[in-house]
Formats: sequence, structure tokens, C-alpha cells
Amino acid sequence: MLGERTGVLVAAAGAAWEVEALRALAGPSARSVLLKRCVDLSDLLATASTGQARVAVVAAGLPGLDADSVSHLRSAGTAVVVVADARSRGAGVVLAGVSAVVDETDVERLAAVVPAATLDEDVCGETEETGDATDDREGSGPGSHEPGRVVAVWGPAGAPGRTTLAVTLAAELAARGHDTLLVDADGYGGAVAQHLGILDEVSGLLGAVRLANSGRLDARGLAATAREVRADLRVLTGLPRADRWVEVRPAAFDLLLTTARSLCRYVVLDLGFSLEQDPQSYGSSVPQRNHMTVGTLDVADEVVVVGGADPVGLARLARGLVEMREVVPSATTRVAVNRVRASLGWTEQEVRAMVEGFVTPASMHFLPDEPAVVDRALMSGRPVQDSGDSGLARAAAGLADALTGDPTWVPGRRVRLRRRRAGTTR
Amino acid sequence: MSRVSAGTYSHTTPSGAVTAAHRGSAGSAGDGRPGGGSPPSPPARRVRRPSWRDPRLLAGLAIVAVSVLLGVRLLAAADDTTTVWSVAADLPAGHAVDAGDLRPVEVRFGSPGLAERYLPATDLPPGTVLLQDVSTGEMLPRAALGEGGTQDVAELPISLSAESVPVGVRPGHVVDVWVTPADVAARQAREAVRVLEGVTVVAAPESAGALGPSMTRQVVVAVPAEEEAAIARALAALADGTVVLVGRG
Repeated sequence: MLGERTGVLVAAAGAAWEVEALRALAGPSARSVLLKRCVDLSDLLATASTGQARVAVVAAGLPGLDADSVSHLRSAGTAVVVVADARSRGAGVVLAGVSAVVDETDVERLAAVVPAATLDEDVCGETEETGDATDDREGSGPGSHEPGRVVAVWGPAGAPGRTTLAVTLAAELAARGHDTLLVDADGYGGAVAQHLGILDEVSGLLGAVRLANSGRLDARGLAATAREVRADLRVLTGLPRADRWVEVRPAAFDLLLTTARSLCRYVVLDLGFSLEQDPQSYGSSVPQRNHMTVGTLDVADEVVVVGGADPVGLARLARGLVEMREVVPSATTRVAVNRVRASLGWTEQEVRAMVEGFVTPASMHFLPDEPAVVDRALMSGRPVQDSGDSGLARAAAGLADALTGDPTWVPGRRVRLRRRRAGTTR
Repeated sequence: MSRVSAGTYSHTTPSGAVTAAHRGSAGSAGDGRPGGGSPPSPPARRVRRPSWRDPRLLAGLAIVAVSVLLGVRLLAAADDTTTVWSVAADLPAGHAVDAGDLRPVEVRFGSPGLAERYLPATDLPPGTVLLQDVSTGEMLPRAALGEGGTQDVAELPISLSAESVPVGVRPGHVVDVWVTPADVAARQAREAVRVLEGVTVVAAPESAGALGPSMTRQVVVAVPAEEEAAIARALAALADGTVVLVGRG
């Protein structure tokens, strides 16, 4: 219907540049065709969901415009071109998913920019970073560091020990001198703060995704919402109430993950159990409660799957592994069988054979059942390692060895730490 | 799940090129990496393990110590007992009091004026004599004390038949000394004469002779030394007459 011309939606929110922009976009020589002038964001989103428009030209000051709405537009196949005004320039606002940015004094450029804008377009590749507005926020600039690794700790339904393992693993990585960020990304009520005895009521996760949604999240902002628990270990505390998962917008959470990679060497995420995707209907996107879990597993470099060693736990683990393979087929999987105890009467070989009947994990780890150690750690609000030497701490160290491939790890350092802490614990 | 790209609204260069920074994809941004001065996070507020160095414990100990100290001070201040002398043995008037005769006792007086009537145990001037008799256990009143009383009292021994002495006379008793004259002229008066009035018995040794009860007793009475005339008259009267001691009060 439109031929070679690009369908364009304009939502200018009454800005003065609109007349000039319309002339540039819908003039006789334009390679684009104006589909609609939208009055507000809802109008824009509704019109975009018809799937006809390829590009939306949006005023930066459009009320309600955030990373989430950009993500909605993108999911409808509409690339977003933002016309920046003086205020958004001053605030240095960054929105995830925007294909191009045009200044309001320069809207003639829309005639060239809009037909070229695509979803896959990499704005950064076309332009040099020269803006002084970004300098103070960008630091040393892109590409100067290798990205951090995302370690997702997931487990099937029940309480197989996801949070305990995530906290222990993060503490282990931090003790080895790796800058580590522990994120409580459990959409069903995470408990990382309780495990570490953190009294701050503010949710770091909600703070970070709020920043991300308004386009203001960078490494410094993420660091400010996280809390430092000890050397090299930061924690992003989770949802204060499970029903506030709605506030974690998928686009914002994805941006949070990429920002976290740039902040820390290791990003350890404690995930919720469910991999279920709420069905999408008629192109509208319903909120995805499990996006934090699925989205993390999708981009994670390493996935640690935790399961209980008892028949129920192993059955759930088996089902969970199959389910996870369907949702995220490519993830590198390590399996941690938790609460292994002699009274169950299964050898490690039997459990290993059972798990390998479903998936072939990169490695398998067996965590002993040590309720006294875990209880002491929980009651003191400290990681398991602080309670001295234990089978659980050694197993976590083995898992960290496998994750880091860390031959430089000197056990002597931990011995020293252990001795010192043992004096204060008992 | 696509990698998220991001654009930043930024200045337009003079040439009109849009400047934007792609910040989203992994490794592109961030002003910090480990060891490279990554932006700091504020420290978390965490539960603290109970420690002996807990300031609350120290504050508690300080409060307990201060209240104990204050309580001791308060009780010490509230102790309004006074130490006064009490007499260890029966003492007659005229006795020169020294510390051996006295025991300190602590008493509480209801009114402060009362305490001034008694001699505090911190204070015993030398050469104090009793002006009146005091008996065992009594508190020593100021009124019973005089100074240098020994040279003012003459001890007058009287010898008299045992039946002329009231039963139970003992040092400290106040007696009158009556004489019934032996000579005829005086007897005509048909009256005994009181030669000493209101004198105090200083000593009244029991007449316990080795060989049996004696018929006479000696009683020593104290006569004020300035009443020499009385002594002389008494001695004369005592010399010829029958002496009787009459106890008073």
C-alpha cells in the first residue's frame, strides 16, 4: 500500500518543530508517508500496534515516554526516532532502544534519518561520540573493558536453595577479589537482603529499573542504587513485596543487566522459579512476571540450576531442566544438587546419571546438607563462608572454581580469613 | 531477546551531525571496571553481631556504675545518725571521766536540737568530771559534765553504824547527813541536826571484813570544797553524836 515509502507516526506533544517536521516527512519529494499525527503516547502505542508504521517520530518531552514504551513500539515493529529538546539534552537522558536522535533545531534531517531508521540500526556506529553532554557520564568511553559475566542462579519450584547458593557464590567470588554484584531478581519475593542482614528498606532493584526506564541508568547510577556489603561485593536488593514485580519493566531490566555487566566483573542473579511466559494476545504485550527470570537466563553466560537431592527435588529438577532447555536452549548449564545427605541413600554417581539423562551440564556440584551452618549464617546475616570451614563453603568454592576457571586462586588467603572470622563467630 | 541498544539525546555538532552514544550493549560503557576505579556503592546498613564493644553495652555499664555510685552517695547523705558517748559503768558525780568509762553509740535524734544536748563521741575534753550520776548504758548528756570538778569537791569520810545507812546506798546517791547530839545540852533540844544536805555519796564500800560482818560502815560523801565551814561544823557534830544517813530521791 505504501510502496517504497516509509510509514511514519508523529507524536510531537504540541512542540513547535512539528510543522517543519511534517513538511520534511510528508513533502512531495519525501520518501516517507505520514500515517497519523498522534495526540499522546497512548494514541501512538495503539496506532503502532496495527503494525503499519515502520518509524515513530517522538518528542523527547512526550508525557509518559520511557524505555518501556519504546520497547512496546519496537515490539510492534516500529523504530523510534526521538527529537531532542533543550531539556532532554540538559538532563542527558538516555532511552534504551531509540534508533536515532535528531535535535529540534535540525528537524530537516528527519527526511533523511526516518527512511533509514530500522530496528537493527546501530546509532553508535554512524556517529562519533563527541558530545560533551555525555562525557561526564561515559567516563573512559566504550570498549575499554571486557564485559562482566552474568551468572544466573535458578532452580525449579520449591525451595531448593537458590538464594543461599546465590549469596554463597557471590561471597565466594568477592572473596577471590572479583568485583561482584549480587542482584535479587526473584519476582516472587526475594530474600537476599535477609540472607545478608541488610536493613535498608529501599529496593535497589526497583530503584535501578526506575532509573533505567527513564533513561538515566548508567554504571554510576547503578552503583548508587546498589549497596556495598563488603569488599568487592555489592548487592541490589529485591522487591519489597512480591506484587511490585509489575514495576520491573522488561526493557528496563534488560538495560539493568547490560549496565551491571559494565559495572562489575561478575553479576550473580538470584532468580524466581517460574519460566512460564504469559500469553501475548493481539499484539498487545501483557506484563511478564517472569521476564526477570527468562530474560536473565537468555543472556546469562552461566546458568547454575539448583535442585534438591531428595526425590521431590530431583523430580522437579529434571522437569525444570527440560523446561529450561525449551525456553533458553543455548545457556551453559551447571547443576548444583543441594542438601545431599547420606540418609537419602543415593550415591553421587546415581544422581549424576539421573541428571545427565535430561541434560548434559557443563559441571555438576553436590552441596552437602548442613542445616547448622546455614542456620548460623542466616541468623548472623553473613554468608556461609563466615561461619568457618564447612562442606557447603568448600562446595561453593568448587562451583566458583568451575565458573571462573581461576587457577590463580590461592587457598592460603581463605585460610587466613577463616581463622580470623572463626574467632569472632564463636 | 535482543540486546538492547540505547541512544542519548545530545548536542548537535556544528556540522549538524547527531551525536549519540550507544551505551547499552555489553562492554560499551561504564566508567568503571574492577580495579579501574569503578563507581562506589554506599555501604549497606546491616545487622551487627553482638559484640563486647557495642556502644550500647558500654553505655549500659556506665549507667549502672553511675547509679550505684549515686545510690551510695545518697544513702551516705541520708545517714543522719550521730555518735554519742554512752556510759560503760555506773559513774558517780564528781568522777573524772575518761575514754575508758565510755562507749560510742550511734543514735538517731528526731530533732537536731536534741543532738546538741549530748556530747558527740568525737569530743571529750580532758579533765571532764561528772556533775551528776550516770548509770550504765545512759547516754552522756552535756549537762552532766563539768570541768575540773575534782579540786572543787572535798571527799568527806563518815564512819557510822551499819544500820544507820539506808539499804542499797551506793555511789551517786544523794543523801542528807543527820546527827543526833550526844551531849545533854544539845539533846535537850530533842531534835537531830542536819549537818550536810544534799551531798553525793562518792563511795560506800561494803563492810565485808575478813572475820565477819562489821558493825560500822564507811561512806564517803562529796562536799563542795568551798563549803569549808560546813565541813568543819559537820566534823564537829559528827564527832559526838549518832550519825544517820538519810537518802533523798
